[in-house]
Amino acid sequence: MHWLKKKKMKQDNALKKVLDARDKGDLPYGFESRMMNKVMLEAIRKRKRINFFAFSLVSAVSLFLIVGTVFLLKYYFQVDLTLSEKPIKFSPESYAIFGFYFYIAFLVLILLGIDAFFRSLKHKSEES
Amino acid sequence: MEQQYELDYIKRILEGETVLFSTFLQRYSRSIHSMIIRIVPCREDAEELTQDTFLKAFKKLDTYKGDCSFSTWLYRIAYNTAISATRKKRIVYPALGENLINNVPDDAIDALLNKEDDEALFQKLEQTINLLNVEDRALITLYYSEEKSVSEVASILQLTPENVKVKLFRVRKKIYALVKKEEDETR
Repeated sequence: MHWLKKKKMKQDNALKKVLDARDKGDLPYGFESRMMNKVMLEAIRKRKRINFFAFSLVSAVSLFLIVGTVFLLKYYFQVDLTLSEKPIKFSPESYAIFGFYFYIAFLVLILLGIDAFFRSLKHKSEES
Repeated sequence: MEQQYELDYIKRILEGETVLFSTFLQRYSRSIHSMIIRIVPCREDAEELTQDTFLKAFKKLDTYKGDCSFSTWLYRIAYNTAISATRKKRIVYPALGENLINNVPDDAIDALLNKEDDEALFQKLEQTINLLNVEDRALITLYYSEEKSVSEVASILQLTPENVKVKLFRVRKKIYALVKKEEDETR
């Protein structure tokens, strides 16, 4: 390939000149920032895909373990897994403290709601 | 940016610092776009293909192992993206007989392609380049315009350096044959 060997002398200047003169077409203003937005969106999508995959994997493994355990207990260890349903009976004394239980449960719900509200406020202020 | 720095940046991007990808965009977007627009001479298509190139690069960033420079890897993605986009359009390029190409004398090619200040020739060359197929156009763009070495071009086009040399040699012959063919037709 004699032409490449003497490349230093022969640069194919005419061809190079024509190629250099061809439209280089500058990228439009804001191309990089628009591109970065797309990349960021893709990164979010990628993270969601990974999370979904991890969640699916954990779910599948958990299901497999549960099914395996049930199978093992029932068919290998011959454990009786039928649940005996005993009717729940409330004594007259227990009725008296139901009101108090409801009051405590209501308070807990209110406090959890307030906590969630302040957390979201803090999150929003951090984002902005 | 040294390759080690680029590898560090890639590692950090993969760990979640997505914003660092802008460094690669700032550094390579113009050169990648400039190569694509020379292969695909439509501004809108070239811009879209540049976007596709960077998105593909970001998606496949974990497959970059550092066995070649990051720019070579990026150019390879850009080349493949541009080639597949043009293949979909099924453009038919003029065919030249093997004999016609093989019988071109080397000295005549050297003389033609090294002429200085011959505007008529430049115009003919411009028209001839448009008649070349995309692969050939990409090859001469990378070698002459982007000034990549034969081994870099080989890495981008996924060919051996010897193969690149043979192809370059043939493209020069093809250009010469096309210029002469056009001259004969205009006479």
